[in-house]
Amino acid sequence: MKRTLALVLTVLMLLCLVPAMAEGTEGKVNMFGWEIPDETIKFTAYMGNDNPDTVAKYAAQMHDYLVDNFNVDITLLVYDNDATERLGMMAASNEYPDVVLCSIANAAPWIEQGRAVDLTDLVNEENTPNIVKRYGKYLPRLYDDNGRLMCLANSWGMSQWADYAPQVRYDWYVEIGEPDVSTPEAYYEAVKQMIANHPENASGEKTYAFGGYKDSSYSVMRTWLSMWGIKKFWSYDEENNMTYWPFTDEAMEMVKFLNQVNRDGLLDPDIFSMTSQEFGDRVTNERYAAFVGNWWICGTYGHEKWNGIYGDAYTENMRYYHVNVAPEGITPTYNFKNTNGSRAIITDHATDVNGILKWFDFENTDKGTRLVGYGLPNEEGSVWNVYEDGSWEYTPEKVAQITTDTSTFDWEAVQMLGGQALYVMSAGVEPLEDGTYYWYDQSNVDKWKTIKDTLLRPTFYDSGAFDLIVLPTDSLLPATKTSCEDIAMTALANAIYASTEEEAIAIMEQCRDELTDAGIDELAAYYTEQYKAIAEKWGL
Amino acid sequence: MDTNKTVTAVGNHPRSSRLRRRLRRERELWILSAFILVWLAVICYYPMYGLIIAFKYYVPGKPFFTAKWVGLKYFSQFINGRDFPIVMRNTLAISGLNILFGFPAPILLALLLNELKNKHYKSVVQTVSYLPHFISWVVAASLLFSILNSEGFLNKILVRAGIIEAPINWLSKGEYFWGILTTANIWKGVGFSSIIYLSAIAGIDEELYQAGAVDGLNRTGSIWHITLPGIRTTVVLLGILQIGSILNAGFQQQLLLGTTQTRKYYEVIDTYAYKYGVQNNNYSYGTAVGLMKGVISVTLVLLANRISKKVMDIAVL
Repeated sequence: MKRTLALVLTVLMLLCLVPAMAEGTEGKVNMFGWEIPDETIKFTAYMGNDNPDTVAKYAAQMHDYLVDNFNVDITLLVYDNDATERLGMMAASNEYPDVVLCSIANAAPWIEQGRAVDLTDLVNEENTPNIVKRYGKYLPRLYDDNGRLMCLANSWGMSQWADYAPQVRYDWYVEIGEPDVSTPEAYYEAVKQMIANHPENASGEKTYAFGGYKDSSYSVMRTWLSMWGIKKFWSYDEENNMTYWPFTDEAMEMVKFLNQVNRDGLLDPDIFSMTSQEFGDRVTNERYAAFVGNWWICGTYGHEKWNGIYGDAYTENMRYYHVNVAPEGITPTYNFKNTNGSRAIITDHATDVNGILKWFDFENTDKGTRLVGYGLPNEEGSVWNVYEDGSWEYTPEKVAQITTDTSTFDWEAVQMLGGQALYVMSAGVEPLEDGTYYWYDQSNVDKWKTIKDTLLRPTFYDSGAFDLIVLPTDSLLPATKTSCEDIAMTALANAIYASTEEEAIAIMEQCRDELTDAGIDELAAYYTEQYKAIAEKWGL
Repeated sequence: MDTNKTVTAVGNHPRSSRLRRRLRRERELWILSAFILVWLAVICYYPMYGLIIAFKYYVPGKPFFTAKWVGLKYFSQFINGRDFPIVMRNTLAISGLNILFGFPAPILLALLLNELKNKHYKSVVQTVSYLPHFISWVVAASLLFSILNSEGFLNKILVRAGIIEAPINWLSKGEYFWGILTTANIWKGVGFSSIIYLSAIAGIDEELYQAGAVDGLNRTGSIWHITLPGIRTTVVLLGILQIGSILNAGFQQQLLLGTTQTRKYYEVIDTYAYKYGVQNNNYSYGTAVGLMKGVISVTLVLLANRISKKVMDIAVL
């Protein structure tokens, strides 16, 4: 009897152990759907140029959370010097982290030197199903000519938000009856009317039609050129032959337009020499009726500041409002989408390649993308909350703040939780299934941004093929490119501020000669050849 | 043959013995200098083997010695490049102005400070004159922008005084760039550079001034006949070093004060090497440009030293 009882008890105990053992093997799954590994996944990642102290501060809470809840230990590395310079030093000293995020051009020598792990056999539906599913049609673009997958991408895909746009000071625009601004001439006429109503700010300082600052002058001028359909300083014919912008009639029209604004005394004379802080102060001091460039510049220094400064006197219309402007017969190209993103390389120094890939695969789930984009949920200051049953929602009061009262929105709190895409390594800007993104403020929660994105969507184009072109470093082409960019931008700045239209035209004509001397024809030929080859490969 | 060997051995013996005796005699000095000599060898001379990449196609991360030999390709590329005349013109012009106005400025300041009799006033002036040296170029550039922009302090004064009709954006006009940069360089460096001249002046025997006064020298006469000759060695020494750095026309100040519109006036050798070498990932090219600059600088130092020795019998080397 005793023996039988002992046997039964032993069998029962063994039966109880089986599921317990099985549970240990499968691992615990947390509320993000992440199967917590037994062994800590530990790696370091170079994220590019940034302030190390600031990033360390913002990364700390997320780091600890990932260790405690995911058993993943990620150390983010940033340096405050130029990324190209830093990557060169890393390669030269052979001291670099497990993961390197860099531009396509900077990734090329790392791959060529055998410092990147070959992911061809590791990225597939079985091993990394979420990467395969989410990257979709963009994954084949990452394979090289030999059919190898040597890297993943960062911020890849076709986002649906407009980065660059012509803008008007909305309350001033409403004041003049919201006239048509669909062509450059109509846009300028409207802006002139607005300035006629507001020739000075409250401090008696002169107001201008347009402004900009030294470090943004490149992107501001690129946006102006895109009003005339030029794509990232290049014009394409029907056969994809490329022409550098100063040689196009459209660019000449743009130069004449801005030169006229200058001669009318409505262009800020300090665009090419002003610091960002000075420009920000001028925006806050209500010195501009309009702006052409990044949407966030005038948002940050405009309504977000005014909301706090004016208090009850602030109205929702006190902001820069985005408009779509183009000459007749031209499709503007304000918003280029580098669908390649930048590169995410797992280096040959990585000891846990499978672990890193497991994390990257999680990053490409909906919740993973939100976690690295929005920051930690369920904390004070979190913009989203995740519940044990797997459901989630945006924090209602945060939505209310970002939609109507952005000056009270605590961005610092979001950043302290690792938000604002601090931990994004292999996730993309392609919308998630519900149409939202890893940028919280772009996820259709702000009505003004929704208006902007909807209005400017026709101006989006895929610049992925162009962005994939890398100039060979053992040739003169990189130096030619730098030289041509310098010549063209100098001429553009001087032509815009020329005292007559004839002088402006003469400067641009001289610029064409200088560009030809500098080798623009060789550069254009190389770009054209490469672009056509990529376009053919991608079936564009 | 044997005789020759004997002669050589006998001839060498006293020389090595002299060297040993000298080292023994100066051993404290050698011990004191040992650390700095080691530092110099490790920090300044050892890394120079990397200069070889100026003659090779070097890709960061690959060993120097396996890189493809390209000889003088990058030197030729720089000299024959379309930017070479502009870069050299700007470098020499900015350096020339710095030497012409920036070199005598601290001497003049030191002479003036030396003439101040009120000690408290003198120390206040000295301290104030040193301060700009400790301001970073980033802050200095910001200050200059606020003074020189189209709505800046300078324009307000000039317009109110009726000297100009409309404001000028000084930082956007190439023709003013060299002048602005030279002024900024003098403003930042004049006080601090005057220290060495003040210390040289302090070393002049006071009795010379008393004797000069007895002989009827006034203040100007004392400066001309006593103070200036007294600091002549220091002036020549620093002058020779200054000529050696004629191709060091600046770097940060150009990048911070230069604008798109003034590029043809601000691009100097160092900014060019950074932009085309480091930022284009072409370290070989950047090194070639830097090496060429270094060789020219050393040659100029030697030349200036030789001239100074011949003309004034004062030399560094």
